[in-house]
Amino acid sequence: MKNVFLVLFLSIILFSCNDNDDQSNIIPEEEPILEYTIASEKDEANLYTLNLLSSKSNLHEGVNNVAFVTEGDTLPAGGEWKILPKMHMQMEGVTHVHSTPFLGFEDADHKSTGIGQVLFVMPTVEMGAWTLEVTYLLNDEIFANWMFEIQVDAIKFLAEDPAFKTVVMVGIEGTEDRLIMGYNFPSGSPEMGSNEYEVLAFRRKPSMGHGHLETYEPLNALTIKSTPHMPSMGHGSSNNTDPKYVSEGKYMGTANFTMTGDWQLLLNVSEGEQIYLTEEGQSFYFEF
Amino acid sequence: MLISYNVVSQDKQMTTYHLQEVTINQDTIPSENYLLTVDDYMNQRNDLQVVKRGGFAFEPIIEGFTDGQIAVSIDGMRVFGACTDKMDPATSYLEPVNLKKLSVLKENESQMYGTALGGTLMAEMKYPDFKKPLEVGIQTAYSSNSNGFDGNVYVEKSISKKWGIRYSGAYRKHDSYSDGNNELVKYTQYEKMNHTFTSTYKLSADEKISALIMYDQGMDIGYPALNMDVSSAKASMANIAYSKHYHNGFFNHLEAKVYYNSIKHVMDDTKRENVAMHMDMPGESTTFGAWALVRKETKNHRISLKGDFYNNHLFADMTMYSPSGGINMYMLTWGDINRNSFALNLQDEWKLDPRLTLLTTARLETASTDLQNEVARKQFETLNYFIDGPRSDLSGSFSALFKYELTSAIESKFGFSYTSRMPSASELYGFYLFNANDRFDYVGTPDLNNEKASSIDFSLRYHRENWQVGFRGKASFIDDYIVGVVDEDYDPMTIGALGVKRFQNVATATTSHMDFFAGVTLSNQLEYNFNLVYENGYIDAIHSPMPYQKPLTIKNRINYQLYKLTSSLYYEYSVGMQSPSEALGEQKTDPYHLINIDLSYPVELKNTRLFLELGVHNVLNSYYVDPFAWNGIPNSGRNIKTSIRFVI
Repeated sequence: MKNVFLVLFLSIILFSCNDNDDQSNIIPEEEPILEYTIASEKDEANLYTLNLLSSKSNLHEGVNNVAFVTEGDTLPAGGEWKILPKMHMQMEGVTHVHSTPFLGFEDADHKSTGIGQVLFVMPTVEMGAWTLEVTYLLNDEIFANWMFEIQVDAIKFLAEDPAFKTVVMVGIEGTEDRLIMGYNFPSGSPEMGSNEYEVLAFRRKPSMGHGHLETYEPLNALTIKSTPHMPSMGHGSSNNTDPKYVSEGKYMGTANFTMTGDWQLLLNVSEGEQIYLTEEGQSFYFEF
Repeated sequence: MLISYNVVSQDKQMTTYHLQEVTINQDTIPSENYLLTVDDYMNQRNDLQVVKRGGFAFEPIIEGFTDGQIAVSIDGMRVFGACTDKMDPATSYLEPVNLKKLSVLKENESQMYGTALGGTLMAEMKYPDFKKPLEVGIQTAYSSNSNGFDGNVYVEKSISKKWGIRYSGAYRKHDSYSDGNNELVKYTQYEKMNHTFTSTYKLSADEKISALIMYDQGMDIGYPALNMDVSSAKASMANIAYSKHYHNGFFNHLEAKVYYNSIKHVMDDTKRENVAMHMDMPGESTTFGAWALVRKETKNHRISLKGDFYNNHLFADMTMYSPSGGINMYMLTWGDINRNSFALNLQDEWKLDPRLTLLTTARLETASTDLQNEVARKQFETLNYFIDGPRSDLSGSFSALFKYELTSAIESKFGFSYTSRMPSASELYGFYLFNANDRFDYVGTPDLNNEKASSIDFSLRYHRENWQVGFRGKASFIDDYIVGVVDEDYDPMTIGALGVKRFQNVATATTSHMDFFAGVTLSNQLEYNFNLVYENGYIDAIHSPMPYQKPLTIKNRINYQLYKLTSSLYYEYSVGMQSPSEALGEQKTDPYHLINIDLSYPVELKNTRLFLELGVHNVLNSYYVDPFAWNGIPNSGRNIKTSIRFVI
């Protein structure tokens, strides 16, 4: 699906290549292993093949660990990558487009974007489809671009509770902005035992007007209190640590899950004096 | 139904009383009459206490010591229950029809079978005794209170002079009983069956091989004091033993055994009302082991050396079914807990003087215990315990007992012992085990230390031809006592639990036991026995009495023989639990009086004997709660039991 090129604002992230061509291992050891190839696309000129890799076999709502890696002919070094996720919603014959936040893609070079995290705020739905536009710029000129039409799966729960979320989205009082948060378990998924997890947090600012996409600013000064809780059993667990800021938009904590089943992370989120979310509100929820 | 046992409950001395054909001592299962369950039998003994969680599977307690503090040996096998909630003490898989003796060993003697602070419960099975070419017994009984059926049968056959076999089977089915207020005590029903084969083959006059195969199955067992019942408890046990006497040679006796037993236990809450969340909680315990014992007797010494190995593997998990159709929950409560133990035991009975004997025992046990399941290890990570391999434990005991005959009529014993026992599997690696008595979830502590007890023991007995009187006292001082201590930082898991307790070593606990006994044989027809017990214990660290301390209890029994009719009148009085260990879930109980009457009448037939028996238990229909009963579950009210027994 070709789209009208929209004027973009901020949500395009430009990042330059690492010029060191000798670096063969693009994935540092601590990073997630991206073992699944989700999609493979040729650029518009049909010259360069770009693979979308992920740590999971599918893309899903919430945080996804992904990278774009070239295959075959190599791109010239010294360029910059540009990534743009877009949701195209058909509403009463009109296409509305919005984006979604992402982080990372810092260890880029001419072979790969490096690993980043895309937080899909919603899954692919009947009237809405996701695309990922990737561009390689050389001296500010488009050298190659790729269009991935992707499927983002919904995370479904047996429990039905509007507060159980994979992606937390709440309005910030006094503004039209919203707090957007997703979680990521570096081990892949929550499991019995002690789990390190990341919380990605953004402030969504609405679109400046027609033709503009909304923007996402990483939040770096949040105080997050996160309490594991089993709603069906009515108990939690011990020895948890709250997520603490580790890098741009990212917080890291530990959650202990003493059994498998339904678990919530009850959230109290504030920034300075301002309270964004209390644990009576939305919470991260998973079933495993 | 006659059960008579002597009052010298304090040691293994086999004083016997002769009431015509009934020859009974305290350890022997009475004369082919197997109507009592092992539970009843343990409950009636003077030297053993029981914890009741319902009408079946009583947990044995020896002088306030329980579970990991005592050892249970079944036909020379270590047997460990498969239930995380102690619903199936190893004794629950026994039937009197296959038992020769059930002994309570204390002090020195107990250490041969396990490193035990409190003592050992030793069950010896019946093997063919070659006395008759064929013996068959069959017995059925009906209990009025629980609409219960008890039946047992045994066949003992000498196939040749060398080879004998014995089969025994038992089946019991009881509905829930009613208490002394004639109110039904729900979930006290049970059903069980047992099949046991034993065989002995004499290789020579001094050498024999014997083997045992036993299968026991409990079904639909209610536990009113707990949240769950049991749908199935299956035990399979087998062993092969070899023994030989040497007339010449360095040793006089050699005995060895290899064994295997496996228990599968399935809890069930489907028959309960108002279950907040249905759960499956199966457990498995598998044990195999081998031991060898040599004995050497000289003029003044009797030395035994025993080497003992066992491996026990425990697994239990828990599936919780979401009541709202949500995802089910799962966790491991015993995550493949594997223990290998090797022990050496040396015992010497030294006759220092014709009137003075010194019995010395030394035991050294080394064990390796591991939490093998990766998921269970991850569960422990949530408690900040990172388990990456087995832990090693060294435990053991040393004891010395002097037996002194002051005169031909006065015997005294004085002993001391030091025992260091390693923590039990649940104490180390149990994960959120709910205790329905104190309503706390219990969590194991993987770095627990050994519990150590120093005990002194004294007894005095004065006996004349027709009567005896005596006293025994024991005091134990326990260091690093292992007990559940409330941890406010932990969140309970069980719905309705009050909190979490973690097993901890706490400083000093003390316990003392005192009993007084007397017996008189007034004539060949009449005898009277009296026993009084009182125990007291305190755990300093949690400012609580120790649990399972017997309040003052008096037991009286009169046995009377009128022509062929054997009768027995039993009267028990207890002041009730006055100083309960409330911190550990005990509650006050009222004083009670209990009277039982048993009658047995033999009818001589050609080549067979027929016994008509009648028992009226709790004659007064007293409403009473056993001092150790969990959650105040009352005992059975009046029960009339009738039985017919054939012996060919």
